Amino acid sequence: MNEQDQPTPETDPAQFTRLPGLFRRWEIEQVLEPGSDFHIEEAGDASDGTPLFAVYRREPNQKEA
Amino acid sequence: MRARWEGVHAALVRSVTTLQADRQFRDARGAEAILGRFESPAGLIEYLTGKAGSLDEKDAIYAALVRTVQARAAWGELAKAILWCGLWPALDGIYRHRLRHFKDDPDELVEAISVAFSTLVGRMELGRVNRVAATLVRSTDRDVMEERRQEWGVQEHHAEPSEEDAKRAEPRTPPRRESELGLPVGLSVDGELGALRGWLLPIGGADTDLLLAVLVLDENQREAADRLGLTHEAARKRFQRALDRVRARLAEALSQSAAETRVSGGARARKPGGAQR
Repeated sequence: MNEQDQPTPETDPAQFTRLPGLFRRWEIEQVLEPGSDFHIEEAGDASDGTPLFAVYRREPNQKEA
Repeated sequence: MRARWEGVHAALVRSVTTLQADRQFRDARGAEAILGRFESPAGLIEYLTGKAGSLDEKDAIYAALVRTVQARAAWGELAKAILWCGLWPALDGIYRHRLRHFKDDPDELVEAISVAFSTLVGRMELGRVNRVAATLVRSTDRDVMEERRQEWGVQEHHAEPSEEDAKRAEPRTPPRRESELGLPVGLSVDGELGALRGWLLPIGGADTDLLLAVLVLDENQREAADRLGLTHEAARKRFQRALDRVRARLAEALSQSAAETRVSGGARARKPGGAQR
């Protein structure tokens, strides 16, 4: 499979499922894993003003519908 | 046995936790003020299924979701999935409670609940309903069993018992080891119900369906009365009288069976003496 055959992340939002909870910037690395596609969105601030993010994951190499 | 049912739940949960679902929800929640404070479908479902929160508010949320489905809004499918997930504990209760009536094909129960629930969400007249969640759950349960009873009725109609079958189902048939009532062994649930009806008919007469509804199909007397076109008071009295007749017949059948056992046991005991003559 060459690079052009790889599905582009984010083109089908139904393929991405959300990981439970919201994450601080430095927590994101704990949920990243090789081989999956991720989509990360800003999701407000914690009470101490730290930005929070929602993380969505797609199983590797999903074919777009 | 629960695989398909649990598969339905897994698919629903997945469908409300996608990036697409979150975006749809964020775009649409402004249309229903009561949803505005929820950040995502998953957060809303957590609130609906949790113990905290006002029941009145939760019911108003269910009403908003039903309205969305009925309006065929762009996020109607998502609203329907949220309804399913929010009421899942109650729907799962229906599944577990009614499974024994669908032992032959549990997938039929999954189908029946799905059809009944979806139909009710689509047709519910919100202006005439006080409690949306309770109405959806109770009506789903009622419709599932109503359809089941109709199927039983059709099967019974198509498979009229032969004279021999009817004779076998007579109350005076000596009890077999597998059934105290002498019902044929190895029947499906539907077959058992039909055979039981045949057994009860000579005793229960016009009240046979009332007996079956309350004793076998788990309807309460008021529900059975409504369905059979009786007043609750009349159904209560008729049920009690019919139940007394069944008990009397059972006692008679059992004492007769015990007497026959004693007689045949005595005959066997005398036989060796006869052979000596």
